Amino acid sequence: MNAKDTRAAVSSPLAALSKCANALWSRPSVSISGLFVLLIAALAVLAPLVAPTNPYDLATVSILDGRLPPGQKMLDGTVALLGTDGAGRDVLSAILWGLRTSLIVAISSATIALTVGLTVGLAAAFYGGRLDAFLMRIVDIQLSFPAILVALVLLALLGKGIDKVIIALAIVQWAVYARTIRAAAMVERRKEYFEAATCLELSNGRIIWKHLLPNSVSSLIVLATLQTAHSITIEATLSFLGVGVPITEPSLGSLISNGFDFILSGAYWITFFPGIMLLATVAAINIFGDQLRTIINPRLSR
Amino acid sequence: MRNDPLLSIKGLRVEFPTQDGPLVAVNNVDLDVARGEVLGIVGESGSGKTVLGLSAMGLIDRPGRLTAGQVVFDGQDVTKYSESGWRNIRGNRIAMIFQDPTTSLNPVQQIGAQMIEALQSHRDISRDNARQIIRNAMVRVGINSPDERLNAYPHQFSGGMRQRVVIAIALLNEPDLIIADEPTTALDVTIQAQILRDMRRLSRDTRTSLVWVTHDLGVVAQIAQRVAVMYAGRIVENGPTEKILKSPCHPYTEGLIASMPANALPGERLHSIPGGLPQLSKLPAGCSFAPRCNYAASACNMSPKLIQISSDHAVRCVSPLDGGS
Amino acid sequence: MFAFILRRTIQSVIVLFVMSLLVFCMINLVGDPVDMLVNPESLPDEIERVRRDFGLDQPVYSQYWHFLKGALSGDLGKSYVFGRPALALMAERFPATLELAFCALIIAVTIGLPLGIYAGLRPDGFATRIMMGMSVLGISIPTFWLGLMMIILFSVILGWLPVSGRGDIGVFLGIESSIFTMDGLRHLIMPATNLALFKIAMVMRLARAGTSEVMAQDFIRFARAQGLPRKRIIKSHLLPNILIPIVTVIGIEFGTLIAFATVTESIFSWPGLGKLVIDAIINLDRPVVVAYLLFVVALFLTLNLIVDIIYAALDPRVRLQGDDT
Repeated sequence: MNAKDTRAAVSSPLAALSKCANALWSRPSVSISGLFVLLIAALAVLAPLVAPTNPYDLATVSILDGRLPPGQKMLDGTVALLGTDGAGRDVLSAILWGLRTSLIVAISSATIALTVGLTVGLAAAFYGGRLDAFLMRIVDIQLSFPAILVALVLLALLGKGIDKVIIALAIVQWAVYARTIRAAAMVERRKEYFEAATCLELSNGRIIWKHLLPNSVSSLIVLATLQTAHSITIEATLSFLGVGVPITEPSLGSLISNGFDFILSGAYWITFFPGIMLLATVAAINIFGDQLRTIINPRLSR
Repeated sequence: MRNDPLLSIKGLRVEFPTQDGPLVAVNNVDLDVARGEVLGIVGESGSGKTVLGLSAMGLIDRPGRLTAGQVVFDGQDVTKYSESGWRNIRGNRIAMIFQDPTTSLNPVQQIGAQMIEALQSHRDISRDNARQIIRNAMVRVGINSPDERLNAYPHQFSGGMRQRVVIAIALLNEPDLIIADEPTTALDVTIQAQILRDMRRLSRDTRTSLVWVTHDLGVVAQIAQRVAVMYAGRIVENGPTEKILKSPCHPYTEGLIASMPANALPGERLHSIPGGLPQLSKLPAGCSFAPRCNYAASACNMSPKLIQISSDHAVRCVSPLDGGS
Repeated sequence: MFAFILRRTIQSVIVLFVMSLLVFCMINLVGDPVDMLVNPESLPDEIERVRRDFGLDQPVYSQYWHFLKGALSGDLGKSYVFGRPALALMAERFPATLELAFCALIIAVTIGLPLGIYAGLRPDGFATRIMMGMSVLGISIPTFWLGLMMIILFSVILGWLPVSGRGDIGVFLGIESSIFTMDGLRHLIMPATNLALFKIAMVMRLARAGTSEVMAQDFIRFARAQGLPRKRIIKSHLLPNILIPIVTVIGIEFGTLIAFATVTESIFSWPGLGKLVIDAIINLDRPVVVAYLLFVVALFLTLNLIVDIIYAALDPRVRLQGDDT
């Protein structure tokens, strides 16, 4: 099944999604990287159940367990497979909880950015003219600055906190979505069926839902995947710099930042393992997104 | 004067792998080029004539490759050559000119520098000597005031002038053979005529062999002593230009001659051969021209052999036309 | 051309003005900088005095007006933390950042360019496949974490390189830089490599795409037909033709390097602009944050403007008008 077939036959975004999914699972390279992404997501969701300890339960965390190397036994008898950090928290448990925070931030910001970008992009494509020119000029200006810088600026202005990080990342990403959606919608607008639909005086909402969206869905999925990987990295970087997620509810980035203080004393595991988890997560999502793109648009793969 | 051919191609086969199986661009081709001779190779685009020219230079790019046959140049089988062996021949003993003069020159390097490079890659020569040779070559191809031109970039030349520069580069190392792949197709008619005249003169004066690849029989009539007609990777007719133009033996050659604009009466529609080239990866069994041939008969289901009509004229057809009647 | 530059310059100035307004208004919503300025045990009237001294008792619009007047005369306010003009602080730190970004650029090109050209020349090669596979991993590696791993490996375990700081500074031709001392270089190598990491992949991709595009051009085939050695073809035909776009993109990316330097400088305690602004953000040192942001916005607008002008100048239609003889 190639992408062209999927495009012609569908009539609603949901149908387009399920068609895409069917086409994708038939490719082993996609399903393997997809399964890996699912596994990571499951670990994050089930963190309270799978993690050996609760690193934020002050009653069980003891400072006496501080900086135990991997494999040592903690006071309560649990083995700290990946060691403990300076405050005596089990690194493995902290990673699983941190992964949870990282994914929550990335996914919520992606959802907000997608919604805003979708609205702006469709509005620009649908109404055209000066509104289009104005919106796209803003998008151009924003995209001429590196994402990390925009996020840094926003956090300097907004202050610390998970909600602030989510807002900042959403603002960083909306422009990319808006541009992509507008481009996809413009292509559809020029096609004949679009004129036909307009002549039939279908409502705007109906035209957008039934015609513009289904044909943009495939490129949106790819973009959202790659953007999510990107925003996980940005969040981690911000948290590492100390302007992102606060240390009270750490993400993978804050865990790495936390371990930074101990690397000179040789306690490498506090930074090393959260970094590996971060790398594995981002790489899995990137590879999955890359594979998706190859299938949806084979010409881009080379 | 030696009598052995300068270039002798024997049973050459060039294949390109594709999804539908190998594409045979050159199929069992035999061809000789004598010393000082001008040979025309004629065929439609896609007939394999360009690939044939490139294989004589060892320039078939992967994934394409020679799967059978020999290319004997001056008594040596060059298909066995290593890359450095080839490099000694290319540009030095065999030169090649390509179709589009606008893209044959490096856009960001001065003409003079490109010419000096071509010389110095084959000879240990001082810059001053090189400049003298370059000046001579440029004058020979009709470029006036060469000194001013040497510091110019390609985009500062017209198309005809650029092709003259390209030809001058080909002449620099006084090669024994020049393979010209439709060098005048992209130029307008008056410049084409000038270049043809100059090339014919050059070949005569310097005893350089010339292989002129073209789709235009009219060009061949002006320059070549002998013609090889290619169709779907094979040579279907081979003989002296005059004989072939006057009395073609292969129906395809006859069709080509009939479709030359010069042979049409004013107001009359130009003749054209019905149909198009078959896909080279899915050649029909038997004669590959049969589906388009007016004379096709049941005997054409057999693959035709090359038949010697006379000592210097051969044709690949089961029932050759008897001389233009 | 002139009208184009003028229009874009005016546009840039407007963007800069809007950004200053936005940044100034929004930063007033976060925290109370007076907390930073005074001793926590100070009496209320002491706090009031400080507030008045720094003009923080005024309404936001009058503070902005004050700021704007100052900005136009080159005064972006005093740092709350250092008690010195923000602009002077930045001017002091900028050379270190510039040096870091410049070295990172050189490292990225020296590593990325050859790898990219190799991958472009051998698209199906074994090494190319490994490289392309690695590049997905490469874009996934968080560079700040890799920086920490470099410290663990080269400083903690091997003890080869210093962990932080800029090291000795030498003077050469009136330029002060740590490139000119051994100690400076030892301090520079790790941060510069870390900053270069994510640009290496970019240069590689550009070089690969450029190489496979240029190698398919006719002038490369013509150069091969002249028998030019492979090295020569790469040096004088391939390189000049791929460098133009690569240099342009690198120019744009220089701004990104300065932005990313914030991360690298924080890891290696490199005393540059990035470290200054991160500290300022954490300490609510408003004037420095605002000054840095305006500086970076101005830098990016200028770089984009220059690149747009270069593109307009490289457009063949524009170039042909001015260049043809």
